[in-house]
Amino acid sequence: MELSFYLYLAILTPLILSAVIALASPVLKEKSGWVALLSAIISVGSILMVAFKMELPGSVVVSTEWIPSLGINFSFLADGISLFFGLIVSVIGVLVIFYAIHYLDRGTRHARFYSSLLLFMAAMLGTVFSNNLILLFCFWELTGLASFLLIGFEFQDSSSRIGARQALLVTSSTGLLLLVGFIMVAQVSGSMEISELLTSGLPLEEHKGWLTAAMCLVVLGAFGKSAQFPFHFWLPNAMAAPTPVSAYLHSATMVKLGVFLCARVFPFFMELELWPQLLAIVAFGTMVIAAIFALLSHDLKAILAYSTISQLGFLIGYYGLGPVTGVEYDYLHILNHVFFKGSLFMVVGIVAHATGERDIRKLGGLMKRMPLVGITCLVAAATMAGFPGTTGFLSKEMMLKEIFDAMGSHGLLGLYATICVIVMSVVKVAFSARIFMNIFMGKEPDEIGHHYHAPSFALQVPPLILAACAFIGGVLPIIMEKAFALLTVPGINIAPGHLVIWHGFTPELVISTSMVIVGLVLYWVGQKTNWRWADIPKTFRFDFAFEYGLVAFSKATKLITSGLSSDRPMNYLPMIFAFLIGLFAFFFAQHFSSLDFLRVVEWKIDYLRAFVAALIALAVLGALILKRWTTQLISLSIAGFLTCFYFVLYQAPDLALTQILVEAVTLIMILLLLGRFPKSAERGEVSKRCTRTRQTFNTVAAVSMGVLMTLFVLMITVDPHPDPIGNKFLQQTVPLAEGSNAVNTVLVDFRGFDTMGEIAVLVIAMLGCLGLLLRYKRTEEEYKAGPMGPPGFGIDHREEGE
Amino acid sequence: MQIETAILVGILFGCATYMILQTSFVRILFGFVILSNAANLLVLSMSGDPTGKSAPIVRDPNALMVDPLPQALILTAIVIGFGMTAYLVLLLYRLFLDQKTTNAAEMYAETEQEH
Amino acid sequence: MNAPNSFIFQAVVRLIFFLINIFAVYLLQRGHNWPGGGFIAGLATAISLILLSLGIGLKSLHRIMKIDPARIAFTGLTIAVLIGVAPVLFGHAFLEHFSVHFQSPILGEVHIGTALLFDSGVYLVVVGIAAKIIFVLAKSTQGLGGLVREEQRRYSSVRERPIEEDAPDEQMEPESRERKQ
Repeated sequence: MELSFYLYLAILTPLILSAVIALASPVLKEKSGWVALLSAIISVGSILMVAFKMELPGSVVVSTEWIPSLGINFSFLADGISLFFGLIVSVIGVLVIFYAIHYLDRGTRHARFYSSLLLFMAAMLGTVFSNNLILLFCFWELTGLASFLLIGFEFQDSSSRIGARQALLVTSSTGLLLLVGFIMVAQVSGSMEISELLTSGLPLEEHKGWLTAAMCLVVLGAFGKSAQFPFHFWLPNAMAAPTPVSAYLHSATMVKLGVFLCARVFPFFMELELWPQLLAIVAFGTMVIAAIFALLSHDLKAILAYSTISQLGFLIGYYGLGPVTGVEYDYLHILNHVFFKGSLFMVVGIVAHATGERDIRKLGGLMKRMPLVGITCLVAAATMAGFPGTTGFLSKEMMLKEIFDAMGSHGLLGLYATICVIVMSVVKVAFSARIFMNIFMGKEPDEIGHHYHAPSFALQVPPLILAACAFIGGVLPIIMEKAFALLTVPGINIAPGHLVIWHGFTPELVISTSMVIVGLVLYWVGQKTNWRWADIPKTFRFDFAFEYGLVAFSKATKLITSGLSSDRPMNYLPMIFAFLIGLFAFFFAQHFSSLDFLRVVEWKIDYLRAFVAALIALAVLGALILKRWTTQLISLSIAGFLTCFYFVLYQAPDLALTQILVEAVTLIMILLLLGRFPKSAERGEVSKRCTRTRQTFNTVAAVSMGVLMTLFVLMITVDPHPDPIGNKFLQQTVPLAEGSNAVNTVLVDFRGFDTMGEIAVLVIAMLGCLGLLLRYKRTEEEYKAGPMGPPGFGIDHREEGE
Repeated sequence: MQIETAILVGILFGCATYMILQTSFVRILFGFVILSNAANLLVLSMSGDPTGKSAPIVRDPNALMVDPLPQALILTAIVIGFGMTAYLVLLLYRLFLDQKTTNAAEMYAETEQEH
Repeated sequence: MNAPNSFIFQAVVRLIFFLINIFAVYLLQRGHNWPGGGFIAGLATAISLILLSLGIGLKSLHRIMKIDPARIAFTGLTIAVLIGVAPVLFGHAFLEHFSVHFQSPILGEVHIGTALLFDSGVYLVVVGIAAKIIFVLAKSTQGLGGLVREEQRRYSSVRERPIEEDAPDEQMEPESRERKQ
């Protein structure tokens, strides 16, 4: 089999099975989890096959045309970094799906869950393997969409809906920035293929400002996805999702897309001056803030969410400070995070499931009840804190070593990064200790005993596997070292140096040890004070501000809409006419301010036409002046019939015939209508008078409209076209349409399509008329709300969750 | 030249504007009827001065005839205008059934009192 | 519209109805060459129907006509669309017209084409909508319950109810009440 086959298999299997699960949900029901598991295993296998088929380190491009004229193709790139992320996504996918099969209760919408999960997995794999910028963007947004569905999985809860909305709005709007950035890159470089950009490089010299802007947009996209400051608020709210989703999307994979993106564009942008500054300052700052927030939180998932943000901040900032040749230990840090965070999330899920409690203050002493989970948690928390014997230790040692190097190469920025990393590490030790100690050690609160039900063994396997990986990797780093060396991508990273557990007594070790001690002291202080002071300051809860902003936004739009478009004819009709008159007046003022064309006008009057015109004008003015509806109608009809005569004078027999008949039907119709109204309605009408200003406005509007239209007619008739298109119709009507009445041949033959549209409009008008005589029967409440129902535009502004 | 047509179109448009700006829905309906007539005449004026020309029914290809295209457009417009008038009539009827009034000012005055 | 109780009026109206319709068909047929055509003929027929309804009353007209005018309009639209689409099936342009010429003993040279059929579609649409709107308005003006029951069933969806059901007639028609007294 070809390599491309396996690559497509890896991405398309979850996509197709997602649809299959969704469609076959009545048949599959709870079994859909096993189908999803199969799909994930196939993906893992396919990606491994791709890795074996290609020469590592190296890269392969597989491409199918999509929109070649725009340079957009289904083009996929398999290289070290995409294989690395692809494997993480699919392997963690297998574990999470296995976990979810045992986690989800019976009766929940399994098919919907796994369908969304597989869609997400396909989108993730698509994103990491994309070689085309636009394709990458499409998959990127698809992951956001799938995560929206998964966060909002329990859509009965308002917190779930709000979390889903926040996540979607933040990630998709920053995703749009990303698209803009990509398009700017493509405009400058002339290519959308990442592989081509990697070989040719970006023209940084010529288009520095342009590319800096593009870089900022791309980085903002990454920040949004990875919940970096100021977008950090959506991730904790996204924890309303079921635990498997949190473990999968919001720790192991989706939020890592920001890291992935920074790695992907690292070779393009890293030589820009702003790159290290932007990434390091924002990401390291986020790292510290989020770590402190994690310490201040009490909800288990919130702690983990903030610690995830913190870790992501480190990873992104790490790419920011990287040397030109490429970073060294990025895979180690990412893998380490995947191990412990995935494991911790699953442990928290088990704990919450078993005890029905997620507040860390109300938990404790679970070691006796769940020893296996306790050990898993211990290993994972130790990894997070960076204790020796785990990958966390290796990661932390390397981190400190590189940060000290950066202090030399980046000066002040390096110092800032160092301080941030040290603070973060201390805090991390504290909350790692808190997670393990306060859940599994100490005294067990009484309430837990009532709710407790033991988790199944299968549920405990996936976190155990991850924790075991962290442990094995920590003890035998040589395995990872080999794999990382194979997966290096030139320009992004270099093969890591020799990883050993024991480096001897280096300064890193001393600092590391002291950090652990300070962290434990911090934890001890917290325990002594019972974490009473721990609460996230309101100023940093951007999610509140975000929600207020959303409400304010919709209120503002409503205000503007109601200001500009009233639902009352007496308010909007003057606006329309005033605008029309203004437009005409502007037009005349612009082009015919001198009114020169009036001099060319031949002031010659056809007396017969003038006579009829005077009669029509008189009749219409009569309709204006008369008070009674019936007399107005009669006056109007006279005007209509005289118009018919006017048509005759204009040599238009067809028009005259039509006009006379239409006038008759209209007269009958309006008479029928007026006959329906009681006398009181008309009497009431007469007494209603407009205000004086309104009356003046009406008069002015009418007069100016009349004058402007007269000028308009004079202007268009003063200089007729020498050869109007109508002459063609006259010449062709007999030879082509075989009819001598040119008006009729224009209607049915030359412009028959117009006529067809017209009769369709007539039929629609008739249906509308019929619809007006039927109506939706209102309920009692609607009657009470007034004849029109409550005012507004159909937008309900009642706040959610009250 | 078509001075008289120009003035007539001006008067019709002015009257239609005045009628439509009233608060009575019946007057607004009449205003729309006048407006559609005015628009028809406006288009008609584009076919040029008919003096000395015959109707666009071709007997002799060399005879001087008026432009048939504006006439075809107006014919369409008259019928569409009829459809629109019919719709407005029923809308007005329906409005009266719901609101028991034919006056915009009165209708909203009631709504405002309730709120 | 109730029928006026006058035999002469009714007789005249019936006569005029046929005269107008003969004239309408004549207008339709000659539309291609002389003033006339689908719109004009359609309006003429619609007026004849309205006149007939004035003469013999809507109920009797319904009995005679049997067909809903809305259906006439739909038929017309269908014919016009088919005339437009048919040439496409034979590889010609949309709405291309064809005609045949022949000598007939009475009428002299006759040519009949698809243009006339298209115009007939227009004719039917105009007849249908004008008659339907006027009849519906007339019926509801008489307080016969908006649309007759059969029409309610045809046009209303499940959520809709006829208007008159919750709008009592006393409030609506002070004049008719006065007349009764």
